[in-house]
Amino acid sequence: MTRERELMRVPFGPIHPALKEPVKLTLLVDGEEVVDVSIELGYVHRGIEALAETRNIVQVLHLVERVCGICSHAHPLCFIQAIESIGGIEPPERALYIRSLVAELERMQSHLMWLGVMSYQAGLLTLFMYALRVREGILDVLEEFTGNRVIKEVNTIGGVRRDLDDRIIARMRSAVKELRRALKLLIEAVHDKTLESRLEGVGVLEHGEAVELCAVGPVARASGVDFDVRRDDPYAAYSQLRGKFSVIVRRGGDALSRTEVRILEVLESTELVEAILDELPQGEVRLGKPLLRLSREIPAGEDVSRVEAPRGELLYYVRTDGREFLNRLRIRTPTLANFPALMAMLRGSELADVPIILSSIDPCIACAERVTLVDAREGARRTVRLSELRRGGG
Amino acid sequence: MELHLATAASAPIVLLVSLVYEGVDRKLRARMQGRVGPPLLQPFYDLVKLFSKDRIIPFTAAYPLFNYAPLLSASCALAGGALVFVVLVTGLQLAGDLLLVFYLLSSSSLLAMVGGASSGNPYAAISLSRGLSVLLSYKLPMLLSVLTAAIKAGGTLSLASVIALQAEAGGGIATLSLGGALALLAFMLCMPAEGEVPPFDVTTAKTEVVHGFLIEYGGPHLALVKIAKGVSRFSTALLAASLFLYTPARPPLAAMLCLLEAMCIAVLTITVPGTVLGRVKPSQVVRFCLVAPTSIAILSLAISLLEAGGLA
Repeated sequence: MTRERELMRVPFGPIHPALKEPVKLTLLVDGEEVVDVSIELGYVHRGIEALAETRNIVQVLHLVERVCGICSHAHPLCFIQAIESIGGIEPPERALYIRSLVAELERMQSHLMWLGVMSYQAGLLTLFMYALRVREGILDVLEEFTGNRVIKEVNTIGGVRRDLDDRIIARMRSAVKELRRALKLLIEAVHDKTLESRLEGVGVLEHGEAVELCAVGPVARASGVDFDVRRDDPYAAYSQLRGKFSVIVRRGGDALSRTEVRILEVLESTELVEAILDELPQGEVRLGKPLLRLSREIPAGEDVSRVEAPRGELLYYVRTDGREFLNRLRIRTPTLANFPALMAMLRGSELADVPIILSSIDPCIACAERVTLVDAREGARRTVRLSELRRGGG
Repeated sequence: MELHLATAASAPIVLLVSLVYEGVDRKLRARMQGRVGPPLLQPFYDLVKLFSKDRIIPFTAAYPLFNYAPLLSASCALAGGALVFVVLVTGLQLAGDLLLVFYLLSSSSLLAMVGGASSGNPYAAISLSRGLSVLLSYKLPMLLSVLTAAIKAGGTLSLASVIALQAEAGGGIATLSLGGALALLAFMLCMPAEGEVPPFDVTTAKTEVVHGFLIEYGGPHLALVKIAKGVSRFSTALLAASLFLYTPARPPLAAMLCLLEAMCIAVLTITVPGTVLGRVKPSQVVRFCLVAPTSIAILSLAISLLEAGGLA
């Protein structure tokens, strides 16, 4: 009890320069050491899941595109896969390749932006500027192809809405080549001594913890969990692309490993994009039927779909009512899955490392606003408000 | 009395040059990062804007300290910088002015931190505790290297005699002897910590302690703290230039040269590390300062003592 008095409660958020989105961490600090942490969500709760239950499938497709501003392709892709599987619809081969292509471009820009944010947290503004400039090249080709930098709206029931032509393919090839060249510089910059010393051994997540706390994506892979939905449960065109990429795994479990995993994943993505452009099959990119008729033909049913979003495994549960509406939509974003792991990383860390650890999981708060996690000091109790879950969360 | 007048008269000059350096710093940094950057006069515009704003005093603040510390801090920095400048221009002999300058510049940093911490904000408190340990760790090697210069000048603690020595010898201490060069190196290694720039900007790190002791300061208070920081950064560089790299020339020209050298030193030790390096942890700052610059400074002191002994 006397010890309690020496501890300082440091609020970290909901408004904090290290946060791009509002989340509240309350840190119990002993000098510079973080003794305990509690996470409070709910500041950007938007009610998307509840809203989805009042809209038809086509409207929901556009709604889930807006769950996240970074992985705005992963969400609709995951959703549409569930719908297609309920409806027994098989999109044409070329469409599947285009879905994978956009997913990989999205992964690159997401990881590059993350690298920028990470170096900003570490006080290296120059790398932030460089990383974001490199990212622009990818955003430019995405804009040329889809008409938009962020909200790409590529997916539709039974295929994709846009086809690639030779000009775009050439542009993508040159953009990827340029990116690979720029990436060499970025990798060198990450292995700069001061940055490395800030990342090495920081926010360690042991392999066992990663498995036990169900970490996903690059966070899990940096802790030696060899799992990637693209390889282990292939979707879109990934089953055909199996030999074209490798899953990056590191054993360190610290922020440096997570950085390495993400940067090397960008390199893998460049390989994948080139492979996709090489092997792109000819043919249609969507079924010939009008979208609304297709959506009415989806029978009542339920399905779970998952994709490897840039941040990790994204999971959708969809239940349709057979009259083009949804009974239930449930979204489990990778950030939410990584919050328990985040708490384990933060406990026992230094205060100076908190922003680094927090951004090392690449949190996307608004996407993760589903449940309330409260971690009390005694025994790390987690409470999930059932009433919210029942109402539909979102 | 004349000294007071001269110091007061040179304070605006020091302020002006410091702000110009800050403009250069921001522009250079932006160019290195591939940005256009603000206009050269941006620091002036910033100050005009800040001074025209209201002051806000949090109700948790210890009022007198919070309110007056920025003013005192800026005055200390300006007095320290102006003193160096006056001695440079006039060659006035003042016993112990080296220690006085050192004391004024340290007080300036300390006052700004204490004033900020008196706001009652926990981030400012953390910033102060970080700042104190960092301050102690880099002031020691800095003082040792100043002492090296003093020993070179025959054991006096007056800046004018150090300058006179260099004028006589026809070059800066750092260019004449190994001990002097090492002392300059130690001094320059401490400058990023003194200037609170990466890799040593742990006291004001935005993403960690939300600008630290600056968190509750805004308007005129912030303007004064900014002046204090800018002037003490530049004055430290000016001190380094006049102690170690004085180029003999006629008085006004020599002072101009020193200002130019100070500008170069500041670019090398403030702008460049601030751009190319990331931030390290507070413990790493202390470890670094107590190992690298301190050992170099002690070495330079030892070499200088040997050299001095050899001469005698």
